[in-house]
Amino acid sequence: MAHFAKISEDNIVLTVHVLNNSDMHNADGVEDETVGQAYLQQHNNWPASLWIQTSYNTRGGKYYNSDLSLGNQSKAFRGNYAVIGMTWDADKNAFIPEKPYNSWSLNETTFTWEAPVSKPEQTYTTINGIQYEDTFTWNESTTSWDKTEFEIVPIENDDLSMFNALRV
Amino acid sequence: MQKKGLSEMQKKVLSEIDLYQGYVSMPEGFEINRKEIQMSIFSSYVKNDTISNNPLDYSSLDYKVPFSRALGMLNTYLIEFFKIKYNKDLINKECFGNLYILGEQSILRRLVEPLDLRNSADYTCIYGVEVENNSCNLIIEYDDNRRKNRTWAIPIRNNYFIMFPSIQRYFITRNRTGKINTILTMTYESI
Repeated sequence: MAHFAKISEDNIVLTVHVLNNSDMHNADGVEDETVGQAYLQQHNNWPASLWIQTSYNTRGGKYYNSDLSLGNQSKAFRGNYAVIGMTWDADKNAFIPEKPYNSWSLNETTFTWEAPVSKPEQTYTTINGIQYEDTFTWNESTTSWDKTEFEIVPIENDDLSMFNALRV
Repeated sequence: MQKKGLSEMQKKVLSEIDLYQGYVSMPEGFEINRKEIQMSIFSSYVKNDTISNNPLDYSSLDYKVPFSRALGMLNTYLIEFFKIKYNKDLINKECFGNLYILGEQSILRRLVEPLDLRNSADYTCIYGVEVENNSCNLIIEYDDNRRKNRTWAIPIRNNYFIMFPSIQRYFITRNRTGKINTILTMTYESI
């Protein structure tokens, strides 16, 4: 199986198609991206140059085996598996996720966005003898991580948030 | 906990009447072949192949549009770009074409079945297949609280789509030119 991202003219991933490996074999029987692009152009009415091959097993610049263990890193391909909404950067030869915050910068090895301040060590809150993980959320106005301690909030009689959510 | 000052006052939009419109912008060399869609509609017109055979039905002048390469490209474009731009997943439900001669206008209609809202479409899309410039408008009726029966007019143009909630009533104004206007209508379910 080969995967190809269909991108818009402004390099945004629109969708990802799966192709049989045999549909991208050249005359010598070797897999060739341009053959796959030509096949997709013919069958999907979208220019060959806007179909970019992507690796299902590559995430964060690393190649993973199907059991999620780290695999042969020479197979890592184009940074990340393409996902709808990602941007294709031809110069960097990688699919790049949407930038989550203005202050974050791109790590050009892993092709992921990183905060200017690294995330604090995981802390825990113990309630009634049970340990819960605290969460950290990025605060762009202070460019720091805000810690939200785990708490059990009793539902008040007039709290309709759960009811309204269920109506969606 | 009670908040203080201006932050106490909050706004929540429970429902909206959302209109989307624009040209279908395909890569060069892969433009929508509108002639192919037009010919499909003409072909159904010649064969009198309508959505409904009942002359009293709303759909008695809605002509079937067989699947074609051009129709598939248009449908794919709308679905994929809606997903990217508005994070809405659309599924195509129905598709039909209409022809309007000089002085002809559509009936006032809406494309939901009031007795079967669960299975009705969420959005209606009007697409100009072959329309003379400034020859007709799409008029959408809407309510703004107690200000009922307001209308919003949008000119119908070639290769231009207008999408709006199927629950809104709409009509297409009379054709002011001597040429036949060909208009495609598609409905979508939002999931």
